Amino acid sequence: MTILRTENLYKHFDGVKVAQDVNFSMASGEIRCLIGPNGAGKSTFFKLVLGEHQPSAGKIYFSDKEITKLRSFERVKQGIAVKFQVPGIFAELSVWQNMQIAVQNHLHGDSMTAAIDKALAFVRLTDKAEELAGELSHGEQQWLEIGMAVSTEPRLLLLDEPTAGMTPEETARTGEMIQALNRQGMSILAVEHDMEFVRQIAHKVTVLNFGEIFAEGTINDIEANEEVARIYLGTADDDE
Amino acid sequence: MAMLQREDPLTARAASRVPNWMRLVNGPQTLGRGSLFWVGFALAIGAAAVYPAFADGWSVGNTAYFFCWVFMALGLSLIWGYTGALSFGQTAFFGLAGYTYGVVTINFGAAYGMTIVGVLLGVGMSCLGAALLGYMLFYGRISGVFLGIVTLSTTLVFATFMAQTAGSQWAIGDARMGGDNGMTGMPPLTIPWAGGDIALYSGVPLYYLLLAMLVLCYLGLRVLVNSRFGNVLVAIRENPHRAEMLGYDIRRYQLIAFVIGSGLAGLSGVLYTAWGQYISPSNMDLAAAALLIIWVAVGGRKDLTATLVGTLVVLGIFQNLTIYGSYYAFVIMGLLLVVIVVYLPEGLIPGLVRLVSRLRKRKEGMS
Repeated sequence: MTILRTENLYKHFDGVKVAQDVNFSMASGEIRCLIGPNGAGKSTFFKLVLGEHQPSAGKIYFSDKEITKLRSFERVKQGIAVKFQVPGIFAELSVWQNMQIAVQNHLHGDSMTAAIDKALAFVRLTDKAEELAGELSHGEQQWLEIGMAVSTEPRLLLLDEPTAGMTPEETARTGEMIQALNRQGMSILAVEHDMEFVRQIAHKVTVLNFGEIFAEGTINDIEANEEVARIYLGTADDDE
Repeated sequence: MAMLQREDPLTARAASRVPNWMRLVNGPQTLGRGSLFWVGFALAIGAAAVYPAFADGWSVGNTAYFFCWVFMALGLSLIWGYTGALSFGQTAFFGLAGYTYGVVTINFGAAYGMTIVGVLLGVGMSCLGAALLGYMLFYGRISGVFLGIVTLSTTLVFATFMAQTAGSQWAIGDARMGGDNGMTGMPPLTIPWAGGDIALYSGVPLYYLLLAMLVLCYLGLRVLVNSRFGNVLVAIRENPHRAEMLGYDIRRYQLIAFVIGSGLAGLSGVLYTAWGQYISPSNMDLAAAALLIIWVAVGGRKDLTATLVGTLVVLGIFQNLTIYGSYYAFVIMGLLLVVIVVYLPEGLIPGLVRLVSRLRKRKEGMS
């Protein structure tokens, strides 16, 4: 079953094409990584999926239901969650309050408390529940945001550079979290620059370049693709 | 505020596990959650209750006048302090409600509970006006400084319009708008009673009515801000993008908070008009709009108790300054705002609480 599909998706900004005829498809239960050089259109693609940008043309389907015209919060209610590149947390509130705000939309009473405790344990922040979110380390803030996103019980989790600014240990732990979520059935779409991390988690990789899908396949296919290496990976005929 | 939330012994997590009836008024969005606070609250109410027995009539009436304004300040705390939308529109809704009360009661009199109808219609008009303006603002995604500009413009346009209504053609029925001189001649709040209507002129009965309304309003707002709805308001203030990406239609929450806050400004407007039997454009001009910001900012906009106490204290100081220092009062108020914004951006009361917490911790550390 397809969890996310785009059909002839275009986005123009004042004549500049940032997404061009993107026909993207991702299976349910998959971990897909989206890579590409700066300005390739990865963030724009995310924003189109999230409803922060409206496409100039084309359609977006989530679990075969068209969501092109839905607002962002409505897409979240359909089962899409996101973790931003810069941690999107409520810095002046405690970790527990952050989780409460994420969970209270669909759970109440004891089941809400249980869900918060479970999510905090998952992102290993139980001991820091009473601390201010803004005073957590960068990596912990990233995990808190993953915890918040996951506690909305999404079917598709979008991760925008989930390991940006993390230490190698934190990156490895984040990879484990993502794989654990995937084992529970969650589909994951991640924008990531760290190829080591992509190798660790991705079932498939999509390469974007100039707003178009440039290549798609397993990580081995992508790494063996000389054109991809030339435009992005920088291992052959580097034109920089 | 951040420090306060962390340093308070009753943490957010623990707050979710206290009995339901306590959780209604206590929670992480309000300072003062322990038994000491509630004992102090009861004592304050007790002192306010016996105050008329020891004070002269003028002082009681003057305190009732102060109470009139607090509803509007609490409304701004909800809109600005809790939801993060700085609105200069409060005085416009104050004026709109006041004039509505005047039009209703001048035309229909005080009998048969018409002043109460005037109060309800006044507050209703404020809510309606806020719903229309708020819809354009929040559903138009206007935020930050632009929201302040639009609301200030609305207030000034309304005040300027009302100031030019001196001519006899500017009347609704028997109620003349009065231009710069304002509208006069409306009756005070009058309670229908079997033995004869009770007119609440600026005296002890009005004082008690306002005190009771203030306590109810304060407790009601505590319930609101500590509810799920209040959590979302604070989330919007902290990070609207994230709040939306957790599935909340933030425009709806902002609009509701704006309407409630503006409705409270309307309540202040009708109570003030009934108290003084007078309303004029000067009640909603630039100075009036700015003074309200100072009351709320000085006490602490992100907390209802801080706003309530701060407003009463600053009102008292300002009144004394205007009596003894004339227009220097405005200069001093402006300086006060600058000092608070620079040195205590969260407000005096949260700053004091933070200082006490630090000293206590230092003392504990030393012992």
